[in-house]
Amino acid sequence: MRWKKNWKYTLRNKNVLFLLPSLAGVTFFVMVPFAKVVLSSFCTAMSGEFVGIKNYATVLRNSAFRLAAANTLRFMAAGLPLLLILSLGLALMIHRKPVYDRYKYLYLLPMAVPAATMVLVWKLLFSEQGFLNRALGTHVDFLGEKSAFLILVISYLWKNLGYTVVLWLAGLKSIPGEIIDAAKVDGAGKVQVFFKVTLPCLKGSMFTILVVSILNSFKAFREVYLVGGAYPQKSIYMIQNVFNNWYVNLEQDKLAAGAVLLVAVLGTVSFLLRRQWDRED
Amino acid sequence: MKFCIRALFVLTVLVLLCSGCGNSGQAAMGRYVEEQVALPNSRGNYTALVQGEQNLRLIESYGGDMVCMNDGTAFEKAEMPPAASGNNASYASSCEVGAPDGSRIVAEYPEGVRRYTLVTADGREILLEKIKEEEYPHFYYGADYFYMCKGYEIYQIDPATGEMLFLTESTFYPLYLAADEDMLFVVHSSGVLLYDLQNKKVAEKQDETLSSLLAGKLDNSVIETSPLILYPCGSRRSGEDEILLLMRSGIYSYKLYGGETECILDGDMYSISDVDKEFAGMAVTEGETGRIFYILYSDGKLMRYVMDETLPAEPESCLRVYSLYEDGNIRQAVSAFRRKYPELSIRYEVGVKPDYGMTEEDALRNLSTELSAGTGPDILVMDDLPIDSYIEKGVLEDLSSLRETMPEEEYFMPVIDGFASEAGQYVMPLTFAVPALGGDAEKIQAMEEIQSLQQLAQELEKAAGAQEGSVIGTRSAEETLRLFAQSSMGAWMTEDGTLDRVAVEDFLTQVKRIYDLQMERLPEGTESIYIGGTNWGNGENVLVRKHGSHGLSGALSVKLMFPEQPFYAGYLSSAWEDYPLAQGQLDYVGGSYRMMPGQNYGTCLPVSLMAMNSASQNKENCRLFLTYIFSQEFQGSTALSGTPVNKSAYQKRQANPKEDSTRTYMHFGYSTPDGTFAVLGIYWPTSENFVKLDSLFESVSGVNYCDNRIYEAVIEYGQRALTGEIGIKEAVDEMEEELEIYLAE
Repeated sequence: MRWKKNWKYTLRNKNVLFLLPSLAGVTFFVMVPFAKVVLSSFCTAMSGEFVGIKNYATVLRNSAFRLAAANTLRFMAAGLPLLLILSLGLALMIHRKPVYDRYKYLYLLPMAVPAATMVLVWKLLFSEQGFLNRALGTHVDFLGEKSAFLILVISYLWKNLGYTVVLWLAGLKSIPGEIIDAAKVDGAGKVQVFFKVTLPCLKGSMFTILVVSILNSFKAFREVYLVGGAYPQKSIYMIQNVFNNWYVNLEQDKLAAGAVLLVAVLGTVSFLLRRQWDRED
Repeated sequence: MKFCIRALFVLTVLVLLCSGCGNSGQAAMGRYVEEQVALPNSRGNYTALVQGEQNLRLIESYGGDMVCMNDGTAFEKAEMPPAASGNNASYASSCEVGAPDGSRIVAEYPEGVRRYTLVTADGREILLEKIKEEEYPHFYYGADYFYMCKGYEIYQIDPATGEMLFLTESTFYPLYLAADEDMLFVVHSSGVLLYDLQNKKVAEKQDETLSSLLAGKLDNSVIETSPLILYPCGSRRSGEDEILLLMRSGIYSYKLYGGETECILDGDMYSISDVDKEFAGMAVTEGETGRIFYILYSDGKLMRYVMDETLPAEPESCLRVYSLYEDGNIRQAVSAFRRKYPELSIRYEVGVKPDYGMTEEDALRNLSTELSAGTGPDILVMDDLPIDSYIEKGVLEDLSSLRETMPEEEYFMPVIDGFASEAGQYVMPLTFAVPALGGDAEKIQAMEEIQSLQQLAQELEKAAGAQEGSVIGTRSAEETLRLFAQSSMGAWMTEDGTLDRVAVEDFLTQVKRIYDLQMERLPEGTESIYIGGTNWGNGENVLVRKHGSHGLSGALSVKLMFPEQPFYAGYLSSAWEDYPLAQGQLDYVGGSYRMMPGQNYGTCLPVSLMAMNSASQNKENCRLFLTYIFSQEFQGSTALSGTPVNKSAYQKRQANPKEDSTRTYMHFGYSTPDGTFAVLGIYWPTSENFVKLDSLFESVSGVNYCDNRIYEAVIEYGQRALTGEIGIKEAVDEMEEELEIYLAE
């Protein structure tokens, strides 16, 4: 009965019509295709015969998938905290300094650099005949060694730092100055103000920034692919590499199962984060 | 509430429209139809097609020109100026170039001396004295003038007076000329030079885009016909800046100076893409439904292309043949099938198009998308595609029923069945080549029994002894590895699809022995010797692309340079010119050959692996295509790369194309290390020679095939092992590490 009332209210409220186009878009272009992916994950690739959870078992047993998943997690574990901490630190430093605020658009420049250009720079720097080797007097292919992982993390930080700083700045701006002033009047020091006032006020932004950063971390695949192709150095072989190769080899049954697993993991993480956030509120 | 319902209705209609509903599947209409133009004298030796304001003219070498009005429907014999009609009674003459009004330049040979004469439209003869006998000019016609390339120099010739005007000297060797009233287009190997005919100087503004478009489209030989025609559509003064480009891939409209390029006619659907033909001329007229194109081909046939607006832009049932890389065999097969069954529509699609910046990964991804959507090509050429994965996924059709129609005695069955398994026969090679080891006849005879690489290495060490100089002719680690991989690569994978470590280690160990032996004795400076001329057959040669120029005839070229070298090796096939050349060289050096020892001894290199898409909606035509390309009719008539799997077609090729067997079939030129240039006369092989070749092909017991990625990994890391950069075990470790993910996927 209550549901019926809510629904009637929703229909009566004409504002909801503005949501319909995007809702229809998401339904047709995201939800329906994903439902098809879920269905495919229980079937064989080309013939479409139902095989139950066989594809999931195959994927979980597949050492390439496990390596890719581990690398992707490792990359996130290394990159995300660094990105969040560094960007927050920078945002705090330049917050309320009009000079930096005026040139805020410059922070977004690294995002505008095409991946191909960035990879070219990597190659100039880190290849066997690159500048770094010349400077060090060595002959190491840094992109073909384990150091490739470090280069990838640094490049992820470089590319996303400015953007994340802008996001933090927006969050910091939304904190009323009176609260901080009141805390200072009450005798709170800078550290206390940060941990007891600023950080709790940023919690809403933090959730968005975290989710955006996780999604951006998946975009690092472009650089990985341009550097190492379908089979890059083992330490930077990411989950998208294995998905890409499966697609090329028509392993769509495995691909579908892998995609569903990935969505399940990301969905669970987001859900747990949200719940934790809500609980603390 | 009503508002909401209305809004929802509108939204639903919008969504349905966006998703394609309401279109009722109507396809775009309008497609060019190819038809042959009937000529009264079908045996004429037509060399060019020129276009005047009112007429089209087919130029015939010996004065039998045909003309028709611009509607292009009926050609009739043209009235010729008296002096130019037919062979001159006292000496031979042939038309070099002609104009729509009948004027022409004729090459004559009075008393064996070559000279060029202009015959004007009213029959006057003017000797072109400025052209000396030792010069070999090439002539073109464009917008009321003749043009001539003499080396790098370009001249304009007035067809009424014979006046020769020097225009310019091109930096690059001119390969083709086209002109309108204002502009002369000089096509060379690096692009195109624009010459301003109004101001008689090289145009101030050159077209870099056009240059890059045409760079490399012509090779370094100027001949009457060309794989490219440039057709200016009008004069610059009248504001026309469109030119038409006729290439194998189709007819393109290009707006000068970096304007847009538009494909007007897709060559893959017509004779235009036929690799057996070149273009001799093109004309364009206006018809009721748009432009009508006339193309004169090098075989003398004139084809007309008319837009038929009642036909769908894409044929409803078009047989699509796909290969990842360009394959000359397949292009020939498609062309021949089109000629044989003109009522059927067929298209050859190549995945990797370097001109479009497309990589192998991109092409594979596109193919996967099409196959998954059930809209993939009908015929797949599996040379560079993952055969096992496609069979496992059910992409390929079992061709056992087709195989059953092939009489055992008419085919090289071990090659045909090379990819057959208990599950079925999904792939069948179109041609093959056999890795062969050549050497001094008595040495080869003494090695008759050996089959393994280890035995070969021992024999080579024994034969080399303390002698100086090259042993087997290879000049680098990569070349040595690729050479011996020809008879071994099939042994590098285990049955469960992993790298066979023991086999690869053994391969590298034995090849390193041979490599060390060879490199110790290799004369200085030999590494840079260029071996060319092994791309036998029409179009792109799969053998050369996959196995390099490591054919036996190429290896024999090195032997000719270093007569003391006892052995040579490479793949051998019966392809026209490949085998006769190898045999001719063998006769010259007193050599013989046998199958190359290796880990997969007795196998051949399969070429152009044919398969059918199991989801094809066109299976009947697929079978028709496959049946045709495995028939003697096709396999015996064209210049395929490799030996045809059809035995009778192979035997048909044993007939000497030249009736007089006492005359040389071809000549082969080479330079000795001291810089002397020598020419070898090559005779057609004797029946004994063919008996030996027959026995080599008959002894083939299967195919030597290896996954591309594994093959390339062995070559890459093997080189480092051979040169001593790393040990053999270490190299195999690195290979395993590199392939670990690939094999695990």
